[in-house]
Amino acid sequence: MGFAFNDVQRALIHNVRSFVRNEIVPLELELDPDESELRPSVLDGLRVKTKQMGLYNLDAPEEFGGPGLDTVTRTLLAMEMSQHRAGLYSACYGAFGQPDMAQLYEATDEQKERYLHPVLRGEKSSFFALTEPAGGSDPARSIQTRAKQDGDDWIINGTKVFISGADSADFGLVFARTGDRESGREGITCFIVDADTPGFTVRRVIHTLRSGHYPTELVFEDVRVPGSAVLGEVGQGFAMASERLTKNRIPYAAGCIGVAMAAHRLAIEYAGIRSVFGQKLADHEGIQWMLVENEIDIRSAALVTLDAAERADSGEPFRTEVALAKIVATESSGRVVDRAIQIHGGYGVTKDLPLERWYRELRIRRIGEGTTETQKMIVSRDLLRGRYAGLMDR
Amino acid sequence: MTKAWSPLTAETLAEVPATVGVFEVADASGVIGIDYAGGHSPFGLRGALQVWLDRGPGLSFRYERTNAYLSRFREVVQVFVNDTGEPPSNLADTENLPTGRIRQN
Ligand SMILES: Cc1cc2nc3c(=O)[nH]c(=O)nc-3n(C[C@H](O)[C@H](O)[C@H](O)COP(=O)(O)OP(=O)(O)OC[C@H]3O[C@@H](n4cnc5c(N)ncnc54)[C@H](O)[C@@H]3O)c2cc1C
Repeated sequence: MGFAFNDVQRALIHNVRSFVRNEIVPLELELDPDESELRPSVLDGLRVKTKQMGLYNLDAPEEFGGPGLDTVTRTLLAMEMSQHRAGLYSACYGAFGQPDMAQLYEATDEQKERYLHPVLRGEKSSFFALTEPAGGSDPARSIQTRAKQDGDDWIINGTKVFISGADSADFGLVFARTGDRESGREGITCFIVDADTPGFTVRRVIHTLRSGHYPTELVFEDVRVPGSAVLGEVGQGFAMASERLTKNRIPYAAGCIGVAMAAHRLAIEYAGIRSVFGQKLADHEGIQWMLVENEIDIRSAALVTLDAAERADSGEPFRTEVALAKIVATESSGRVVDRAIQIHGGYGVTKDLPLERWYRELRIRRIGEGTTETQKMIVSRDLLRGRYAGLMDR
Repeated sequence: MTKAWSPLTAETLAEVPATVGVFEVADASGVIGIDYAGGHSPFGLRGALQVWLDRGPGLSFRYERTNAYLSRFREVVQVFVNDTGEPPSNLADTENLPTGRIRQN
């Protein structure tokens, strides 16, 4: 484990940093403080620029037009990309490409043509529908949406909840039970469902404390899809979902750390400007200690997350490391933003600064993509079963 | 939105809170505007509706106070578009029109 950046990483970080600070941050001045969507024409321009820089579709493998970067480098870039007002949002408003579509890389050629390539070109968007009203932490058991075979077709019935972006997406990956209830994770299949399929309804946007983000409730009433809509194999949907969720937790953690870094920078700057009791904030020990605690939180989260990324690159199992990174990064970035707000006093909670927004949004990060408790469950299981090589035993 | 409509006048506007939220504006032909008062809106809903009052008499309005003004705005617009087949006229030329697939139950 050693995280000295190599020349390529240093150059990439530098490029992303100047792109975010020179091209993205000025655009944010015009947006509502809670908004996280740029005008499509503006976004098109940004996409062209990131393509020219060779930084479009960062997560895509080389054969699909991505730059073919390793996970450590992508993690560093995700931290850098998140250092703007709407920082937690995937890949900087989509200027750096779409969120990871890992499952679709395994799709049939026809499915790739119809879904993956348009997504990679920025022409289509998708949703990922796993969670249901009966629960999200244990989807293998709680999925009640059923898909029944009817000739060559499948008929899907059920309800999904908290599905991000489904109100405006073109298609979704929908997980449904195709085996009996006892079949558990082996009885779940992933279907690609076009959003204009009859019987598919977006019932509502669910209003949360995360602004500018749109989780929805979905209804499937006799939604008929052809056999060719099965992604992967029948009964293998859960394995596919777990793999995606595990991998996604690394950029998810990195996004939180990027925001924490941005909040920390604001706090340091402000501490040097604002005076109380005849001294700069920065000269008060109480403030200095908060800044040090921020530094500790950021460093620890970054190192644990980069360790998970390095582990992912090594080809060794990395589920436990990723779970640790998700816990540490989401929890510690929340603390950093909280301290940054405190240092800014009343201004910290106004919409003049992004801090209040980050504070709200980071709260959700302890729930989305697997809650802190389920991550602890993963780590404890592996620890107790002796599956997890401790830091000194690798 | 299900609240009762009020005529848009200086008197009714004075009662509107200076908070964030969403609102609809109608003339005799029906709803002509759906919008929100967000984090940049001086005097919140009151300030945003003042712009409509300045356009002239004969309008009515209704509003909802909500901190989730962006997602509620999106939802109200999407239901309107699904019901009528087109956006309200104030959003006709908006590049960021939140068209989508929400249908009223
Ligand atoms: C804004 C937002 C966007 C989302 N987007 C999507 C999406 O796009 N697609 C999608 O499929 N899902 C999405 N989700 C759903 C998210 O993944 C779930 O909310 C999450 O997995 C938790 O599930 P749950 O809400 O049903 O809580 P539950 O599973 O009911 O859990 C309730 C509580 O019990 C705790 N708990 C669970 N297991 C244990 C245990 N073993 N020991 C101790 N405590 C435990 C949990 O940590 C939690 O605190 C989104 C959620 C939010 C809030």
